[in-house]
Amino acid sequence: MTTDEKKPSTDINMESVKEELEQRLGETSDLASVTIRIFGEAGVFSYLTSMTNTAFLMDNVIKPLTHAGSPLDKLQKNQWLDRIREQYLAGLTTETSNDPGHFTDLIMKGYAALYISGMTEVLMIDIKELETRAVTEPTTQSVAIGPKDGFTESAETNISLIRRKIQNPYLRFEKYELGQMTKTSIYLSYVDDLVEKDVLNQIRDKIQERKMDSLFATSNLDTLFQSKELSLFPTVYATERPDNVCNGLIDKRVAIIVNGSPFVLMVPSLFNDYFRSPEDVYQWFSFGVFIRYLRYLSFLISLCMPALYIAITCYHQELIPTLLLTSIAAQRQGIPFPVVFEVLVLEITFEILREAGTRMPRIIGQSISIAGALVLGQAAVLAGFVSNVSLIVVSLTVISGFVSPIYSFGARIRLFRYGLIILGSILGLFGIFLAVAFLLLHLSRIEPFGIPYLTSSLTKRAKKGERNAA
Amino acid sequence: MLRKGLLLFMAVILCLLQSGCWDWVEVNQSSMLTGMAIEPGKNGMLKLTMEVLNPAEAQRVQSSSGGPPTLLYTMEGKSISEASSRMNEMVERKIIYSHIHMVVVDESIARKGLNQIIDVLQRSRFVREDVLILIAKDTPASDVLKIMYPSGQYSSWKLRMQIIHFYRSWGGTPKSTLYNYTDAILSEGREPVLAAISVEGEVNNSENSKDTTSSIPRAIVKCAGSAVFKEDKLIGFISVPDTRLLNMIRDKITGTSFAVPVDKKQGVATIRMDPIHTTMDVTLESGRPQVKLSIAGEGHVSSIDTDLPLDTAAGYRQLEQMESNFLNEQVKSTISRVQREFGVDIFGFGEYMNRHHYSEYKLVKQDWNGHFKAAEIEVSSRIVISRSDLKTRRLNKPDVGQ
Repeated sequence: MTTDEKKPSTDINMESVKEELEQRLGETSDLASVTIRIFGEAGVFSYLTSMTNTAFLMDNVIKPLTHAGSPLDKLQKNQWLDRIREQYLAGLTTETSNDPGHFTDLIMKGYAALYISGMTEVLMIDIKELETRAVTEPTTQSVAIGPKDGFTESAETNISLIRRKIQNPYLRFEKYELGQMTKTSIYLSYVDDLVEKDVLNQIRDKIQERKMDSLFATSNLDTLFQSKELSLFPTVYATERPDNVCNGLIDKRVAIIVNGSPFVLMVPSLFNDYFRSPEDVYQWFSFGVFIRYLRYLSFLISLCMPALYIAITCYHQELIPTLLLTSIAAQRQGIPFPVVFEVLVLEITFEILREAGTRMPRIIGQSISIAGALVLGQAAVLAGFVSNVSLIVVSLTVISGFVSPIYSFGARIRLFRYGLIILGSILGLFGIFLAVAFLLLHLSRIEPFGIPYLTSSLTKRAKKGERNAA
Repeated sequence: MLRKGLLLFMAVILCLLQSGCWDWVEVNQSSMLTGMAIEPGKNGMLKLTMEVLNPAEAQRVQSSSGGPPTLLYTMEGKSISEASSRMNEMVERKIIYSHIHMVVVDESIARKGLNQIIDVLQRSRFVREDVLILIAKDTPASDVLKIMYPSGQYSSWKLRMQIIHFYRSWGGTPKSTLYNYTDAILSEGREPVLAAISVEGEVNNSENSKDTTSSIPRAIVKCAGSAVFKEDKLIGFISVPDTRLLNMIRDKITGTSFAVPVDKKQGVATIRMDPIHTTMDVTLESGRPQVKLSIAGEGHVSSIDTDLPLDTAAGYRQLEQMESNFLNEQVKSTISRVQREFGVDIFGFGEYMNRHHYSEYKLVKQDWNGHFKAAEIEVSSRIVISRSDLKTRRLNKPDVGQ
């Protein structure tokens, strides 16, 4: 549709509305203006074709209005809009406005503006309909048993996914807008009678104070909620799973939904959160506990294993059982590099493989695994460049690094690992103890929103606080 | 802030680089010392034979060339420490001492006294407390390390396993680690014993890896009972059966088998004892130590040569009685042999008295070994035989010809 020609009979007001729109939106091709006649009066519909459903508009708005008789004759013109809203457009979200800035904003959000000549206000009708991705299984956090739905890019869908899981009158969604250019809507979600008001207010303040140009994904918000001090561990929990978020909401968290991102943030997040998967609860209790401790173990492996391997084989051979040392020594015979170099090269090779694997088109993914497994792994060992033990250690480490249910957590651990490897190779076990002591010290000092990072759960903490107060 | 952080970071890195890596040992540039034999050398020096591991052969992970699992290097020096620190005169790799399994000491050196050898072992931060100290009986100590075994086992590992398993299954060798030796030396009223080993067969024909292709070993190292010490000096050996009873008297046995004679002819019943415990009580009566030993154990019949009715309780009771008597006799004879031949208390009777009846022990402390020689021994046993292995009576056909 093209911009309608101006009618000679149009009102001055009508003129000003159209001018206003044209001035603000310019010659954008997805702006449609349709002239109609309602109850004998000229009117114009303006909306963005890219944000609305034209068929819906025709069936539910334009048809009822144009086919209507003229029962409005008796009414004053200023009562028309109310009558239209009540009688013809009942059930649709409508709004009236005479502020051109405001109704342009609404048009951007998928409203249609109806102006009937002689009126003092513009009627805004919500006819937004967007193409959204269907609710599919989350790609980053899959579970074997449990709900398979995942968040999508549409905030409305995400809100509904949460609401249908927590049917509680205290569940709230608070809307904010961030980004001067993008006007992205973000929603704070919390259960009103559970959430810690102090934390909630801090989050509100932070969002309101924040000025940014554009906001497309939740990761842009990460920095907003990180604690002020340098924190090596993530304090913002991003998840794709509604059940995860619901668990968090029940455990006094605040969830932040950003329109356009399938990841929902939860704050404050604690150290333990990164080892919990909703699946733990869906399984047999004992197995869930076992798996959870296995995750802590693999966190330790992923953090310390290569460093320990280097430190022990280079400085503390007496700690290795004789047969194992014999075996290690046998395999390392004829290897041209020192252990540290070997491990570092293998680690970096794995990082390169992983990065290539995530970025490349899925179709050629197979060639990576062939090149990685066969060429690099097997051939390097056969050629005698790296020893089998080092390969085993590094592979185990890399695999353990992916065990954390939250991907971003594993990514950080990978970086610490390099530090530990270097310390372990220079100072031996002493260096590793230093590094681990530092990490522990650091962990116990992080306090996102005033809650110690190592707290096991917010609910338990609150209960304990109540008991102490009593 | 950034500048401060950078400075701190640089200071830390500098410290690390200054101090680091001084004791770095790369595994592929070092070798493990697994065993050591000490013999007298020329001019009063010590002759050390070091068994150094050749890991690729000792642990055949990749295709190996069939070379020897260990290499033996011989050094002479005034002390062990001197000789071992000069190892690189001959060896190209750095020697790792922490995995030493055993130290074999020649009989003639042990007779002169072990203290000079033990000191270096205890002082070194690399040598573990569980390193075995063995006395080579009737053979040069280095012969023990020379013998090769099939499947790439090296002597010290083979011997270590052998001693551990022999102790567990039969109790025929004393606990013989550095720790046990130190413990015995330091304890009041007990003299140390160490495991004795000897070589049987032709050593000269078993030094080559080709010699291991025969299914009958040309030479083999076997446990030869215990070496008995007075203070740190070797004074003699006791046999393997006596060693077992010594372990039993000291209540340091995990399981063993007794072949109990059951009739006038050669018939024996083999009883596997598991567990067996001994409690002792040592008192002084008119200046003479009275040793009361009571042995309690449970066992099962693993073989029997006679028609003892093992399907009735009476049969079992009979057998229990026989074994008790047998044990009492054996224990008494072992103790009296030690009293007679060596006159040193290796059983720890004095140690018991020192701990439980200190006032009495004070009277005999000066010459405990002398008193031990005259000690009166009383043994009582209470043996329970709980079952027989799969069968009760042995196979026979009583009705044949009737």
